[in-house]
Amino acid sequence: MITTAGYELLITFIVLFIIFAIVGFMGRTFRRGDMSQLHEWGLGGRKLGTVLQFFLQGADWFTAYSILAIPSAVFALGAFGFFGVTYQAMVFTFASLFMPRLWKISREKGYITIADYARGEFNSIGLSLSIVVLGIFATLFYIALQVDGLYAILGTTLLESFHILPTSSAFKEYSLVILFIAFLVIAAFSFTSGVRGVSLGAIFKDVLVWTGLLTVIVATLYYTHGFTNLFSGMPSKYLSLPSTEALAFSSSMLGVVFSAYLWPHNITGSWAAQSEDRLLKGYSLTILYAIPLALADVMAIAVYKIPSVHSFVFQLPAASRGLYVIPGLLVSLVPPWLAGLALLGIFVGGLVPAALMAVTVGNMTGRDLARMVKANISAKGQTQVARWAAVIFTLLSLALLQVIPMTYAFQFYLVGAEIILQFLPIVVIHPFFKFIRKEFAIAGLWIGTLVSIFVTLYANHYKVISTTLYHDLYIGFIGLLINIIIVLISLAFPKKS
Amino acid sequence: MGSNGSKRNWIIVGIVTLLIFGVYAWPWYSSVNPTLAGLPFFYWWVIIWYVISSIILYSIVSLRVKGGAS
Repeated sequence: MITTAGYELLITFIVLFIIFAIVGFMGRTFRRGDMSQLHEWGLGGRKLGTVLQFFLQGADWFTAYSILAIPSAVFALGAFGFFGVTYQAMVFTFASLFMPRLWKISREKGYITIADYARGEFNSIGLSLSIVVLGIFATLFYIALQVDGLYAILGTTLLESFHILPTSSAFKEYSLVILFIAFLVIAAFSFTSGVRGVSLGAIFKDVLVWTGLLTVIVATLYYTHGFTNLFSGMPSKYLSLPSTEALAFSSSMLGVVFSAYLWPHNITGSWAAQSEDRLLKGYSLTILYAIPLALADVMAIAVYKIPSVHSFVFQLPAASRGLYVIPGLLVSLVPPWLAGLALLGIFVGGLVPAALMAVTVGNMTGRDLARMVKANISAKGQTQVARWAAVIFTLLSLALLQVIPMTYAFQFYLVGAEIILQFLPIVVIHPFFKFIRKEFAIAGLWIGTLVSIFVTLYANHYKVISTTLYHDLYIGFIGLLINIIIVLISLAFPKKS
Repeated sequence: MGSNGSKRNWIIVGIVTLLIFGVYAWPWYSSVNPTLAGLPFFYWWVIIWYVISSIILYSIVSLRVKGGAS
């Protein structure tokens, strides 16, 4: 039995999703290029200006998962959970440091992916293949996180419209069908429009998410009568960070800061910039995206203050409750149509990055793997392979999540993020100091990876991976330290010039 | 632009990077007071520096691109 409010919410959600799909397909004709060329399909012809860079970086970095999971952490842990937004300015400061140089190299030499770059710069197919394998592995489980967020949005929508509880078996069936349709749409518009479709989808998504976050902020402040009331009576860990958590806070932040723009899909988005100038301006403006996000994260505390939100969130099982904080604020405090709009914004907030990841995997498959199999593959052939690879990857990631339980997928993601950090010597150091020899680059990458995995398993007592900290130190850094020591050995074998 | 100019510009980029990392990397800002409109210092300090970081990074872009520091 559907209520009027539920009906309004549902209709808004569906109509906006259809518009989103149309916008994505329209990307094909946006600043038209020869879509049979890989740099046109897979990098949008490197034509994105400052504004589109802002929307694309914003959409791909501030994903559905970050919009839902950071408030979830603040709700459960207090100020410590805020680390997930505190690092944002550092992320783009660090990316600004090295990405322009990398952009220039990719443009001059015509590189499409970092595997492509590794092959050209180091003259090593082994290194290129290592990056493809590790990059695709990590990316696959990054999508898993997004799907976790998508479930929370669908859970809220179905609960509000049809009173179907996210724990029921009916929910599992319905959500799978809906996700399948959504992923099919994403696969189809990745196939036809590539990065152009992702960029247009990103604008649409960002507008809805900004509207949604601002709505949450204003509505929550209205109902709680300001910050003073919001924080009054809360335990001290919600007011500021306990000093015992300082090291863990700092090293968790820096782990993200140094790895963020090593993710292959973020590099794809950055290489799509029209010029160094547009790239850097895009980065500096994207930091502003963190303002509404950070304020919305603070609003997570309102769950304890507003009874209707409290009862919505606490009707759900403790394990998944946190992700329902922002949806709970929306459905309890704002009109249903506005809640539907914001929920759809967050929903496509998970799909847009997934589409960029699919395009990136497509690029790596078409450009790098295909050339390893068939050395003389044509430009058109590469693009064809890339497009189909994007489709297969999208559907494979959804299928995989039906086989692997979410808790395992999350563990693979944590390890994946440590692996991505091991790209740092190749991606960040090499463009500036060209001393690294390919043998040591490969050895550093793999040994850094294996050390990180081993220490992570050890730190979790070879049980479920729930932390990537060892004595409050981010474990990826231990791998990275060894990785850097190994690549430094290159200096003992000077290159002939 | 000669290499001296680009060296000077790289130093500016370095200072900006160190400044923003200095602001955020260690949570020395984890205190409740002074509050801003009821928001504890810990939160509003982080948020206000988004704006400052964004302005600083934006303002050095042309210096970097034209001055050979990119």
